[in-house]
Amino acid sequence: MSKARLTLRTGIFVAIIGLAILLANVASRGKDAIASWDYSLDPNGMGAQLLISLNYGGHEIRLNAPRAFKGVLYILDYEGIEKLVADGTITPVVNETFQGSTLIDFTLDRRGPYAVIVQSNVPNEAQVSASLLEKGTLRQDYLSDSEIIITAGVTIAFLASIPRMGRFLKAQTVKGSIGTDKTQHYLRRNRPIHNLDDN
Amino acid sequence: MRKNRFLLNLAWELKNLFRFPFPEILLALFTFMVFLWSPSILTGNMVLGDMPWQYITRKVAIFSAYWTGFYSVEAYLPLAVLGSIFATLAFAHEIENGLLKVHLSHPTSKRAIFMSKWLSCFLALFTTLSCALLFFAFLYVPQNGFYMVMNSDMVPGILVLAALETFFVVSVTVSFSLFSRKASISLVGSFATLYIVKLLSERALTFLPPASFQKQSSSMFALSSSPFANFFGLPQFFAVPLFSAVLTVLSYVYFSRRLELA
Repeated sequence: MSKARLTLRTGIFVAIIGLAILLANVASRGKDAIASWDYSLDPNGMGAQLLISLNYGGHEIRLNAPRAFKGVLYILDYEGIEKLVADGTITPVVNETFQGSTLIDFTLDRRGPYAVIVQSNVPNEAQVSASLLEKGTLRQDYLSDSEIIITAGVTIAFLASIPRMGRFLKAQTVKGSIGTDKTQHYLRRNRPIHNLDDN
Repeated sequence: MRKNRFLLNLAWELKNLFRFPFPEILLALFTFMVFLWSPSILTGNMVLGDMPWQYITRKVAIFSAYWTGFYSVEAYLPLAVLGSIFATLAFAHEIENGLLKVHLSHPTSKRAIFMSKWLSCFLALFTTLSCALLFFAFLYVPQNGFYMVMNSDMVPGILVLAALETFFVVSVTVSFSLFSRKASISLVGSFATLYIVKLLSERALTFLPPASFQKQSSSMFALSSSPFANFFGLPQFFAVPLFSAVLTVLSYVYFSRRLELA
């Protein structure tokens, strides 16, 4: 298989993968997911849970805590977790103060691992249970990823077919002027023979 | 220079397969089925201040690879359908229409012919399934892609799993194709067998594929330091590959010693 043909086929493969991801994303929307876990918090302490992974879209987290409990909910994305591990800085995408049991809605714009941290602001030990509902929806991040993959595939296929298009155009140009060549060729083959006796 | 007949045969078989848009169809089906997944959220306790970044990225990479292996069984039915078609075209169809006699009339060994046909079926399915699974693994958590590569057991693990699944399907379909000697029986019979195996594995016999592939995925991608966390599951891990190897050897022996072409 020639290099150009191999590249063209590779571009088609990549575009097909992107298209299949797009269709699967459209077909699989509407499926919810649930996760639950518990925190055992020290006085004024912090508890963290790593979730792998949360998807794009709306989420609902229900925190069941004693009525007197006061705390803060932080949700960190991938970069936030890296920063937390590196120097202890909390840069949350969600930051909600709550008291007692509560229900918090939030939206994520990108799939990935997230850390859900509960900071206790009471001088007692506390048990907090959490349950998270991920609402099924069309995943815009997968949509944009699949569009990027399709574009990449189409671009590779287009670039691979440029030499072929060039040869095609060249052939068309020669074809357009072939009448002149044919005429000349005909004249060369069929030029009248001058009979010296006629003069 | 003496030409390597095996490589020539293999190139010819692959060229035949690639003439039709089979790889494109395979890729589209596998990618669609693998990405058509039900979301699940894995939770893990995080000890603040005592969890290095390397541990977290490895955990994310392991979960990406685990889910890839888990959802790879979604591609089992397309694998079975197209595996049946390829094996039928490679063996039963050529036995029926006499083309195999033409192959055997060339100065090449029966072993080279068998291996080239078997390998062409395997490679077509394996490369397309691997592409779909690797795309899934890297797109699951794209930010962790670099660490997926750095944790050097993840990508080879996914490829091994894809190879085991393909090995099972190809061994069953090629055996059916050879022993039945008829294209219609081979096509329908091999797919029906693989489908019945799937139904049985979903009911109760989880040591059968494709449920066994999910268990293999659990064994291979575990958070413990040992790559095979469940040591006692090791015999189960090798049961299906051993069965596939035995089927392949039997098919080869039949092809090389017993196959009579009218």
